Amino acid sequence: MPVLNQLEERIRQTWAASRRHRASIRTRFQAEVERVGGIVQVVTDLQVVGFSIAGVAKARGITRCQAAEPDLARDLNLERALAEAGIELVTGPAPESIPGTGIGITRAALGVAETGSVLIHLDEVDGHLLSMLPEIHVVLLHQDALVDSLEEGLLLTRYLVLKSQARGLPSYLSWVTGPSRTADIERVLTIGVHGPKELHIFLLPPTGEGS
Amino acid sequence: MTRQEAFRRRAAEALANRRIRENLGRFGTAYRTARENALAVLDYTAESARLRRMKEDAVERLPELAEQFVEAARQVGAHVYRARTAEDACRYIGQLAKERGVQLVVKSKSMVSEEIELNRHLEQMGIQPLEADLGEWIIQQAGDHPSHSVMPCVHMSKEEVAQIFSKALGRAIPPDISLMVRLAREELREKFLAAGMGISGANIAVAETGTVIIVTNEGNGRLVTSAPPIHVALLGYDKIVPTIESAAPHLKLLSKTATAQQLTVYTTFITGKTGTSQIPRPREFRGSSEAEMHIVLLDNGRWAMRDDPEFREALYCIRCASCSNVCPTYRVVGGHVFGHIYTGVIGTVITPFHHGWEAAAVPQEACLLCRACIDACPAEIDLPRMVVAMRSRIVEQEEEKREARGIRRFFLNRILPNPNLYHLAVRLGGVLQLPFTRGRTVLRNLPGPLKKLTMFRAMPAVAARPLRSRVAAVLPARGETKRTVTLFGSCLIDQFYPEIGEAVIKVLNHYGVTVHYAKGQGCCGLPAYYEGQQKAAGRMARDLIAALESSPGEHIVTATPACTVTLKQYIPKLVQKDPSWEGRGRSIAGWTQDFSEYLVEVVGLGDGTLGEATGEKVTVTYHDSCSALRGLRIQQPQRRLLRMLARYELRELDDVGECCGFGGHFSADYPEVAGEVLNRKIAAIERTGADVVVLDSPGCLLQIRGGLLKQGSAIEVKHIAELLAEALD
Repeated sequence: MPVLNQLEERIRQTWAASRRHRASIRTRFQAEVERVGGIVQVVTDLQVVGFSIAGVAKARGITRCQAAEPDLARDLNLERALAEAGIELVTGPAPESIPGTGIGITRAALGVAETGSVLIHLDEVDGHLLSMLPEIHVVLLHQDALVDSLEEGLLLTRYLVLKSQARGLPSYLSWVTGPSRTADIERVLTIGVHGPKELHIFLLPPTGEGS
Repeated sequence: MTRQEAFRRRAAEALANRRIRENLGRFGTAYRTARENALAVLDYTAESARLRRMKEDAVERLPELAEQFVEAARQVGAHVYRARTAEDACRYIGQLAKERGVQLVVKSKSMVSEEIELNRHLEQMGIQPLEADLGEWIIQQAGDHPSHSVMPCVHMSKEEVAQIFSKALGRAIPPDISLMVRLAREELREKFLAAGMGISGANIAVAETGTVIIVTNEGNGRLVTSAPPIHVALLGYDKIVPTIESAAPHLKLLSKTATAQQLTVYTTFITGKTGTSQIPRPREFRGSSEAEMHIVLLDNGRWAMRDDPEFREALYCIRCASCSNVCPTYRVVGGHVFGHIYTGVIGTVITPFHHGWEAAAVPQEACLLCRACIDACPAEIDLPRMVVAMRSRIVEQEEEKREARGIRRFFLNRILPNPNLYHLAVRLGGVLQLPFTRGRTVLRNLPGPLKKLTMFRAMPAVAARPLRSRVAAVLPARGETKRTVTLFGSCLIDQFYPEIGEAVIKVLNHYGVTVHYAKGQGCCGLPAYYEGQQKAAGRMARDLIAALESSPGEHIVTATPACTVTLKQYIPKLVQKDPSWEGRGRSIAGWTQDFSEYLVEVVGLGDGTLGEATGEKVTVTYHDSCSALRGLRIQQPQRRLLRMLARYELRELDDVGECCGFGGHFSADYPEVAGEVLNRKIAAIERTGADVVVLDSPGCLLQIRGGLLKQGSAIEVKHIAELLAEALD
């Protein structure tokens, strides 16, 4: 696929640019997420994430959290932190527990600084619904998966979709920019209609290369 | 009933509802600031041009891109149905639901589903369609239809919404917005999993990958497209773009112009159906549990629009509703009056292609042709041009059906194009007005059929002697002649405001300009052109070209910007297909300049001081005419001239650029609507605390002075030429 090869070359250049400007891109991303009502926490020690999530759950009176992938729970010390707080943790697909879950925890494939968006790429329907149905959505994003502009974000989105498409596979990707909102009644901004009322983004240390 | 009577009747209902007006009025004001802030981060002109090029390319290559889209979507297992008509689309979706045993359908916002009246079709088949977008849900519960394409229930107050909630939920709900939002969340949550089918629209469809892009803020779009086993995406061919990357300017500008966000909360890229949720479904779930995606690609007039050079650009619309948000009449009457199913200006322009010319004939009357929408449209669509084109086709059709009769058509086709007859008619009016003027120069209350004219404003009396009888054919410059011009008087100045014409001449003569007044000049044809009477307008264009080109002036100057626009832009267009007139039309356009611009650009005025400051300065404000501001793009020359005047101090309006509601025949036909638009302008004038409103257009002068007089205000209204002439005394 010549198109994919061309895109890969451009993506390499994008990641190189992002590495050079990592600090300013991160600052811009944080500011934009906050502007749309999301919360960003920059994490240096992964173990802290579990305790932060437990703290949010306790403050909101939430009794169950669910993480899309089992390794997420392990990496972030979620099990211990939530157990200490007396909060149930469900890991893996476990679709039957999604409707009663207070916090859905998923990874993001990408962050876009210009708009403060995170790209949730969960082709598996229930993984995706875990990012939508609970009142709180916790997103884990590695710092080196941040790009600066909307155009760069679309380049990566195009690549991901095209790669699945080339193999005849469907895909489902969402850019999430802040918590769910409406202004349908008298244009008054109200948070949390059908989607999450809170969006927490943990910016994890770089993994080395962009995902 | 004529078109005009029908529109007036429709508008009357909306005007009776004060709340609509207040809600829309407040929104329009807030929108301007929010939009400007959101757009401040980018180069709007460059981004708009990028969007425009992208859409032009996509529509040009549509046959090829549509094939590519269909092919790509099928590769990932999506079923694509190419529907030619609304009925085809409804039938396909209805049958699919029936075959899969679906009883409940959840929907995210889709204007195309409104276009084809899908809900009605499904209900007739015993299938329940449930709107999941909060605004659409409210509209559905109320049995209403959307009045705005982005905010469906913008015309409702929270009290009205609370009543709808109370009825839907069977208990009393207070008008508390956050409570109502929470209740809607709870009420709809179960339904996403109970529904056998989800129907969405699409903002963008991507040819390269067969992807459907949906933007929503609430999240209903994501739930509708993922929770039920079957997803049906319903979209028009106009949504197709080449690649995901090419959608960049669309996504950037849509969110900023529609809702003043940098980006909509959820931008979802759906390529095929990735599977079925394993979340246990409620007991009431009926249907198949196999994952399926169906794409219904709808024509319903879109290919005809593409093949129609006058209307093709309507396909570039991204449905941001900016044209409604800035429209002075939309803000008075709302989308139920200004629109058929699609609302606002763009909605009315595309209506003939989706719902027939008859459906568009009455709503399109709402357009004042103020051009505010041109500047607001991120795809640079020339909506006013299309409104005129639409009017001219409506007129043609009425003539074919012999529906067009009456005084109006007679006047535009027989009287107006004949300078002598027209002059005679106005003079006759001058005699008939005598019992009402009683020696004064204004008419406060006209009787009988003319009552409409003085409903919200006083009218100027026909001048005792028109300009043409007051001035010589050559009016020499004071001192040496440095330049020569031909003055085009314009009907309003000639017959109603000759004193403005005299002021213009005085100023020009003072600065060494010899003025030629071409006596054979008639009307420029604008009233006929704007009403779609192209034949009459064409006749007037030729007569005027002949009258003006024989006059020796180096430039043609007018002090009526609407006529300047006609001379510079419409007359060349009206004669362009006639080889013997085409060049002459272009010459006239090239020679013509508006008064203020001529003084600054040609005479070189604009610096220094005029007149003497005696005592305290008089505060003035400046009202830009739509014709000068957006027709001619002249905004600075008038201000430079004003700043020269020692006696005056300029304080700008806080609604600079908003129309006063004159609109030529519009304010005569629809005084109730024009009066409301004017009320806003008068309020803005009063907020400046100015003693004098200065302007450059006799039409705006008629409207604003008439309104202020009627309301008993002491604020004066003057043409800029009058202020300059006074300073030269």
